[in-house]
Amino acid sequence: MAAQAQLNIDTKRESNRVVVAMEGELDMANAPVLQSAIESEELATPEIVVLDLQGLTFLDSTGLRVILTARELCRRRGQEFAVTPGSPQVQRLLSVTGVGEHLRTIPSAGELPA
Amino acid sequence: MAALVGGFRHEVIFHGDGTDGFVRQTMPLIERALDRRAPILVAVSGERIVALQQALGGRAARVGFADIRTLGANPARIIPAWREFLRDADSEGEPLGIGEPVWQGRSTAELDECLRHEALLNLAFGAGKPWHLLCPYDLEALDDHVIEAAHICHPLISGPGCSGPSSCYRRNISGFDGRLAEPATDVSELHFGEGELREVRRRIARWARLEGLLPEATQDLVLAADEIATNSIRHGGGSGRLRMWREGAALLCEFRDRGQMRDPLLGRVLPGEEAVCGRGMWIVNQLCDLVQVRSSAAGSQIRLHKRLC
Repeated sequence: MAAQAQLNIDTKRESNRVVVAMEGELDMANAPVLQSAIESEELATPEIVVLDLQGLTFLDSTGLRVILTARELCRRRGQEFAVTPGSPQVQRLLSVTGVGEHLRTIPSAGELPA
Repeated sequence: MAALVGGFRHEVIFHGDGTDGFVRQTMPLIERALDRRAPILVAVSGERIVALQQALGGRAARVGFADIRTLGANPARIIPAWREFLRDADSEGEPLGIGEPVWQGRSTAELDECLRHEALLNLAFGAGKPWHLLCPYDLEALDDHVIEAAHICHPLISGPGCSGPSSCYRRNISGFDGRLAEPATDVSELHFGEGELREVRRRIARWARLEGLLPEATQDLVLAADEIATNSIRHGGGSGRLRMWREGAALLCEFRDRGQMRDPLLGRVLPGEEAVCGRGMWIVNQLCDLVQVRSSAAGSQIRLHKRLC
């Protein structure tokens, strides 16, 4: 499907953490792809969940909503949650919505959340 | 005193004589507010800020200033700024705001949105805590129809020879009423439906680049347009129509769909960090130089303006 080609998701488990790396555009058409990735079993047990936004070329408020859903899910499960900074477009969206200052951001997927 | 809106006093203050007249009319009110130790924010042009600061001398340090031409170029960003001022204001004394959303040189489209903004202030703050907002209008610099409209959207007026409730104040002005004038030039058009958001973004990006919009501004316009197109698909009957054209030094993108917007303050309230939805129009207002929304049971028309320089 065309929609899937626009967003690739790669989920990697590394000891106590899971990194969900996204590549492509995260909008209404592709939000369900991320939604099912964050609901997968792989994300349920690690202590730390990292959404790697570095490969995202586009993010809008619909995509942001799924990211916030992921954070809420982690909070309920008692998991640490963090994101990586993402492109200037991603940072612009996080800044104008005021969400950026409330998201735990780590420099790269390999870093430990502070 | 039926014209008074709760504890919020929204007052137009008419003056002549440019910046000097503005300072003469507003200084006594600022001095009184300073005596009361009230929080004060003055959002006017840079020139008027400098003149007021000179007149106030050392007392200027107790007054907040903001350049309205930056803060309120898009008038939809002004209500959030007042909200922030009130939130941060300590409780001592009734807060005083001086805001000049309307100035000479504003385009017809901007003036129209400014007057809708003035009307929305009554709705946004009417039921809240008491404060005083003064809106200076320059009688010599502004057209008669703008002055007339100021009488309609302010419950209180003061100026040479008049002071008190406005006899022609209208409480229920809808921010979404009416229709926008048709473009006077050729437009590019695109019908879109579900699964075509990416095409909407691609078309706008390519067009904006060709028109000479800088990369960062193009990125902003594309995101704003994506938010509106998403709304059309989700709430506007599953599809919409996009038209693009240039008007003077601005690029315009217009969306039409079958949905109806109901909350007149949509996009003027920042949803909380935990909010699930409602960010779309907020984002659009932050990224565009002007946003015009007309909406009724027949559908919605949303026009985004992005200046080329």
